[in-house]
Amino acid sequence: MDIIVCIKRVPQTAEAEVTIDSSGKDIEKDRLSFDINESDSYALEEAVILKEKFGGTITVISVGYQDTEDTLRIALAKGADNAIRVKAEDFEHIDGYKTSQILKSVIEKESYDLIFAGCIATDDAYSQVGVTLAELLNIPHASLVINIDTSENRADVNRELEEGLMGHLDISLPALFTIQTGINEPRYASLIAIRRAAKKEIKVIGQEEINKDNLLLNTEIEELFIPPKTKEVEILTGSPAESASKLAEIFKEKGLI
Amino acid sequence: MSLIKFNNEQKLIQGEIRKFATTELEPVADDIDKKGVFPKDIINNLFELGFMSLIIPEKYGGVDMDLTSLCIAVEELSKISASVGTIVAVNNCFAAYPLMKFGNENIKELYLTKLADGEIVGFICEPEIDLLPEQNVLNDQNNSFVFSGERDFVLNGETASFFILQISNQEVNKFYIINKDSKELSFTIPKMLGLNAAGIKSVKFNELLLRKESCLNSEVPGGKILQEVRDFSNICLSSISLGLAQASLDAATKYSKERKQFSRLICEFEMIQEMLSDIKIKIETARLLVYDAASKFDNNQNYSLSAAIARVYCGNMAVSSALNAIQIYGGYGYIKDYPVERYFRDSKVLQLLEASPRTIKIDIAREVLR
Repeated sequence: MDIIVCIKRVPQTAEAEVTIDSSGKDIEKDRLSFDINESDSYALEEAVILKEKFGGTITVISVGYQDTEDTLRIALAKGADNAIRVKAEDFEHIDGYKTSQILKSVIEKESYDLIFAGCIATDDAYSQVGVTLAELLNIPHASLVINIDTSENRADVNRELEEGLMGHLDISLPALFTIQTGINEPRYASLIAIRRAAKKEIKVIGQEEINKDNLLLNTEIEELFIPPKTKEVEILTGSPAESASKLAEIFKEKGLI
Repeated sequence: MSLIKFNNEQKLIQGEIRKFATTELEPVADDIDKKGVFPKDIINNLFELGFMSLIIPEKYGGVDMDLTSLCIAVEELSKISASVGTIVAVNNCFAAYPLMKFGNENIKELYLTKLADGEIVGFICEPEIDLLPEQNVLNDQNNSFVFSGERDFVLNGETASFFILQISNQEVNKFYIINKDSKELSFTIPKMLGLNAAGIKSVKFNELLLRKESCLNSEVPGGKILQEVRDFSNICLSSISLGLAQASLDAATKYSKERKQFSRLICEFEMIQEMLSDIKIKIETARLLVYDAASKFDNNQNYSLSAAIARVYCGNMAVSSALNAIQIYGGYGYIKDYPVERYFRDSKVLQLLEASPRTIKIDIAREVLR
């Protein structure tokens, strides 16, 4: 079973202090660390699990700058066989739609049974590359996939919906799934695997191979901003009894009790 | 361009071990210190990933990576838990390195393979101890020795399956390999200030027979073996102190940007800023020293002096960084709900572990005066 996994290198912003840069359209990234997008790491692990079960190859693809090769190498160390970087520097502004078109032009030349992508990128949170790519390739897709059971030409998948609901789909292959976090437990790369991956060649593709004149951009960031404060926090001081009394008064004022 | 240039492989190792440390180790780091628990699951994971046998040649089941890679891994682990950083450092520096450097082929086959397979090795060394007749009996019986006595601060003592032990008095100075299951050994846990999860133990020997075959290398004097192990380990132990100092800086910086006094964030006060910059200057200096010494070792250059300088500087620097961090936290720095008191306790032990700064300074002075 040949699987393609689309991955993205993203800044780690969960614990970091995020500030907007001078352009007003991006964040300051020079002090942030970068890693594979969280749900992409689950997508990669799911591919490795299927490869261990059925054999085949895994190809990881990312549209990114030179540093993205570090992320691709870790993917190689975790079980991918081939890695392709599409040079982001060749394509100026890139949005989700343009990324999908770039990926389509690379993937349509590859053979595959399945394509995996993360269900959402933690930096722009568009959630659109996977499903748009499936439409461009004209293959079926399922998003937010939390379980996969594959046979030769079909896959049973469960999708995680709101309010604890699950959706069960029977899909013919080839297909694209966007993978939800929690579907598996991503492994760490061992030192031996890192050593091998550090020496592997990464295929790099740019504007020579992909005609950028045909690529369309359908969104543009106008502005990034910190939302204005809408509510003030009031800290109640005094002894626990005094604070509780003040709190009860506030509840009464607001008609909550 | 930075003087520290990690290659592709080293950058990947740094990213992956950093992720492991923050994801797997951080949630338990405080707890294992408070309870004094050896983190078996974490160490088993590190074995599987290859970190516990990082420097061991592939033919014995190791990964065969360089000292720079080991220092990178140990620094990252020590930012989260110096105890875990120490366990990894000890298995590589005090166990694998002397076996690789001085063991014959039989010893390498037997013990390095065990080490790479997941067995932890303890290291016992107190060469300057007085051998009192009633405590230590050292008898020659057909080139074997019977040894009784006590040793404190056995590194990796809690879970080690075998130990490397230095025996020295006026007539003998050799290293031996002993199995933990020998009934002549009994262990107690010392109550220490720091490194509480590192599994450091005290051991008593009751007429332990040390056979000739278990001698690490009868040709090389124990003093030379000890010096080489110390030189090598000085670099790696420095990287533990470096990681600890970075942890102190990170914690103090974060706290100073949250804590308000007199209606201002304390990071706006210049005396706080001075303390933060003092820590930062020392960390950047220390990092250059550590990776310069490691690079010299990896490139077969003379590294002993650089290793000694790095060790003394980093050991002292981590203690002063932790003290500054406690100062920035104010009274909260002194209570166990916040991490900086742990960084201080651990950094103080690291300053002294295996060789005190004064001992190492004597080596440095000897080189200066040569």
